[in-house]
Amino acid sequence: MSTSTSEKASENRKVTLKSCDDVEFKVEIPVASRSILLKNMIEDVGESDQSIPLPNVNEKVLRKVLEWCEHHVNDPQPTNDDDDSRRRNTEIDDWDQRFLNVEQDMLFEIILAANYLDIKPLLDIGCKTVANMIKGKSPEEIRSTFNIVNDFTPEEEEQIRKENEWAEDR
Amino acid sequence: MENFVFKALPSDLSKIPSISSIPSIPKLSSSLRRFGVSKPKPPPPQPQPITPRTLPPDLLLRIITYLPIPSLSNFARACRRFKILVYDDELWEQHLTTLGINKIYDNIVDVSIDLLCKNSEDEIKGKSTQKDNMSTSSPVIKTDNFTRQSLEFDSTIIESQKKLGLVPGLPLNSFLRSRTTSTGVARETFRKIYTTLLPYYIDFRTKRKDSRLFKEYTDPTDQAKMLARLTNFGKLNVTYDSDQINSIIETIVEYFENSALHHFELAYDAQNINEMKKWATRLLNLNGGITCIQVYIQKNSIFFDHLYSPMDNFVHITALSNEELSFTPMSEFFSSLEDELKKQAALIDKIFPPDADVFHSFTERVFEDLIIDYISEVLNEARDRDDNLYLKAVVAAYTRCLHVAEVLWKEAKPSMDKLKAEKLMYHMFETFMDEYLMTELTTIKLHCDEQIEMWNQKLIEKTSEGQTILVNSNREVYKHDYLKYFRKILTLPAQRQRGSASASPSPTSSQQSYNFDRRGSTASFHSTKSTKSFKSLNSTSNSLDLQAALSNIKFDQMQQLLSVEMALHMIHANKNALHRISVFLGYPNKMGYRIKSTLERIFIMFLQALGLRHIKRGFDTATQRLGEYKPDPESTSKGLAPLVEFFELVHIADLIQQMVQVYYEEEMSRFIDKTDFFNICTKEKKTFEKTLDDSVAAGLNIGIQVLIDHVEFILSTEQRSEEFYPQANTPLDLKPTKACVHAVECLSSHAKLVIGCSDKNTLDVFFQEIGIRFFGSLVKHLKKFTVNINGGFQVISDLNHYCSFVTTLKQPNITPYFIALKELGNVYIISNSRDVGLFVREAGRFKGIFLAEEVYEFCQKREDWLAIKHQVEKELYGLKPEDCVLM
Repeated sequence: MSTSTSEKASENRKVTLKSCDDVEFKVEIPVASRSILLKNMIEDVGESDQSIPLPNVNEKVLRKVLEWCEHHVNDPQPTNDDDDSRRRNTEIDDWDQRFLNVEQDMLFEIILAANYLDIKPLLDIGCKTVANMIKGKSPEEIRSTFNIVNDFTPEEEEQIRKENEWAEDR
Repeated sequence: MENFVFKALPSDLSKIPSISSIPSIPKLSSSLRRFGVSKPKPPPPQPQPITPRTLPPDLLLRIITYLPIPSLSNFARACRRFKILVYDDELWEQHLTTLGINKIYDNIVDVSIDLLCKNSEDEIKGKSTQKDNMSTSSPVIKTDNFTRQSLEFDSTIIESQKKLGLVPGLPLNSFLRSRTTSTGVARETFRKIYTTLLPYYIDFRTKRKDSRLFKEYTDPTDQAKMLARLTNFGKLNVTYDSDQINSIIETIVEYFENSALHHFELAYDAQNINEMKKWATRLLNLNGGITCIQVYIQKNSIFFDHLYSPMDNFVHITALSNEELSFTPMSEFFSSLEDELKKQAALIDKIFPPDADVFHSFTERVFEDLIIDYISEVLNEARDRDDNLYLKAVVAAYTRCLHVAEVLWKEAKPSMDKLKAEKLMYHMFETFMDEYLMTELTTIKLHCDEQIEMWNQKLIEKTSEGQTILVNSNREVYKHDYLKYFRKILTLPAQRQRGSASASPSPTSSQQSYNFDRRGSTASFHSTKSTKSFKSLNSTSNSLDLQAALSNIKFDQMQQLLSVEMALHMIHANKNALHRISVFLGYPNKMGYRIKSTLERIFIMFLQALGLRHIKRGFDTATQRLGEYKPDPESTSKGLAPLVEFFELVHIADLIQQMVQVYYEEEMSRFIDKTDFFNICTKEKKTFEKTLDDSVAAGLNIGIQVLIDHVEFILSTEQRSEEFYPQANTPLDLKPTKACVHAVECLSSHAKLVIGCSDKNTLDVFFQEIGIRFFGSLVKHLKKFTVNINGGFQVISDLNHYCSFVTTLKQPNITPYFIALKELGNVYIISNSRDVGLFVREAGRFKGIFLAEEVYEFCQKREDWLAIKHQVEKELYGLKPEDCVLM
């Protein structure tokens, strides 16, 4: 069942993760520990043969998320105080860009999973990707990108535009 | 308005079980739902089986924090839900934080005004009125602006709450909370700052040093402030091309920084404090001034040309061939550092603002670059020479460092926070602690090993030597005096230690004052004790004190298998180690704990070495010798050598144990809680005492055996049979027989030896055991002899003698045995055979100690037994053989 690529290096200790649709993944602990949620769980519970159920993540998304974790397994753990530098930097590296070049549904699922599993860097690049999709678009373009129906009257829309005139690009 | 439904679906909506009867929904709506927006007049909010989860508001908010500011307007116009997010306080508060404005609600108006006031030369005209206007009127304006908006929010909230209320069990969205608290103040504040800064910011698209900023602000301090603001401003993705503008600003900041630094260095070289302060303030305003602080610290000459070499400490050492180090050069080094630190504290206070914490950074550099290097060189050199020297050097260095920390928080003006200063020092010194603690342990271990090895060697050499054994009367006095001196010696240096620790040594003459302190206390001691034998107290060294005292007390005499002297040496070494370590006890956290445990381990190591490897071994040998002892007809008159030797041993062991006790109480109790049962030291001391008691008990056990054997030997060899069966014409003198007297002498002399060597319980057990065994041997002994009437009197007088000896032992448990024995003697002097029978029968008078059968046995030893047997048995059994008649 488990097709995770992390099976190759078998000498490392592993944990079993179970997606909401009951698919099990055997994952090396350093890879799983990219997720702060899992990291804390593993630290608290210690080694256990029991699989960890992840009721909020399905197989497809979990596989994708684990792929990211594996690629970034050697990254330094993010600290709390680099929030600022993280925000300033809107660039996303090439691998991550390709990684997130997925359907919009999938992108959102990845963001949700990253949020649930507490994988800050993945959550950040996900949000940045979405922000880049929105950036510089007109309201109509935003609506069509995200399949939203305009629920404003033209007057209301004009009102908002006026209120935000100060922030317009110059 | 009512046409719209604001839906904020919680993320776990999809977990609600699906209902199969729901009509299929067009695919489009699944994407819509993701953003919580549905068409007007939506179907009832039933969960959709194919609908994935929506992005919760906090994630959407996270996304839009990455949006450039100009994009926000369009985003807000996309739909109602997005608008709420864009207008949310949280977004703007985050942006304000990035700009370096944290206290939003209290100071925000002031902050923005402060910013606006410094805007430009134009605004300075009539600024005061404007400022007043703004500070008073802006809150009012704000409420006007936002009333409508917040009303709108309210209606939306009510709307959504109504709709959400339709779904039973659905928790109210966390979204609502932030909505209700949104006041718009943060957004309004941001707007002000944004509109103010933006013109300057975008001006850098095309211009560099001729930009508006530099034209409007001529004072470099203001320029620095503005540049710092714009740098922060750029972090917000202000425009679509903000990356380029940011890098331009960065270059300008660098240029500005370099030129300011140059000016700062010039001012530094000229020692112009005002200039330095000016440029430092600018640099701090620009970007925190880290480079400036670094330059300031690095330029201090203390880091590159100080004159103090760590090797100076070792110059005199070979010449004097004395391993004592005064560490005067080290003191000078530290004093110079302390002076410089004090100077810098004042200087830095003049140049830098307090919150830049430059003094802290400076001190850190001093610790890490200078002190660490110096100390490690001293320690390495000391270590190469001698471990003891090394240990002393560590303590000396640490004391100096403690003093530096004290100077930092006490004498420096303005002073550093005490905790901070100590933390710096502790952190720095921690690098040396591991090695130090290890060395302490190994040194003690080595010392113990050495001492024991030396002692064993000595033992082998002098086994054949004759020993002078202390006379009984002397011994108690010796022991008492010895312990008294011991206690004195032990406590004396401790007082010194305390004295020198509390008196804060002045930076220049601390070493001398320390010495003086010592000399003073020694002198006072000397005067009070001068009548005693402590004449040769040396004033410079603790170890010499002890040795001098030792040599004057002739205790070497008492050395046989155990050595008081050795124990004293070990205690002494141990005490020195404890004192060294105790200096470090102020260490916090983990290291403090490790120091304490090392301290305890040192004490334990000593106890184990002394207990198991010295005392137990000595006792084992003694016990073995005792066991091998065979009574020797030649030496009957003298005492039992091995037994006496053993008793001596017990005395020495007792003395050592009391020394340990004193040491424990005087020294260890300062570091550990004596009442703590679980403390390993207390436990180990108990073990030590138990080992000793066990050894003594085992020895005494064999000792008793040997003693009784010896007594039996005396009795059997010296008691002649005619003594109890004298010829009729022999005159009766009714004195105890020679054998009896000798046996009692032997017993009593040994019993006296043992008094005072162990606690009362052990002695009681010992005496009782002797009494009972002696009783047994006497009974056996008596049964060997045939006694006539005159001999009976002799027996009785012997028995009286035994009995009176036993009474002197004061053991109420065993006296009845000997009283019974005395009683029993009467059996030999009763002339009437009937009465003999009655006597035998009335065994009750012996209080159960002798049964009738036993008395009967004694009776058989009467010389006239055959004659009276008939009568006695008749009396005893109540019937005569002729009474047995066949019926």
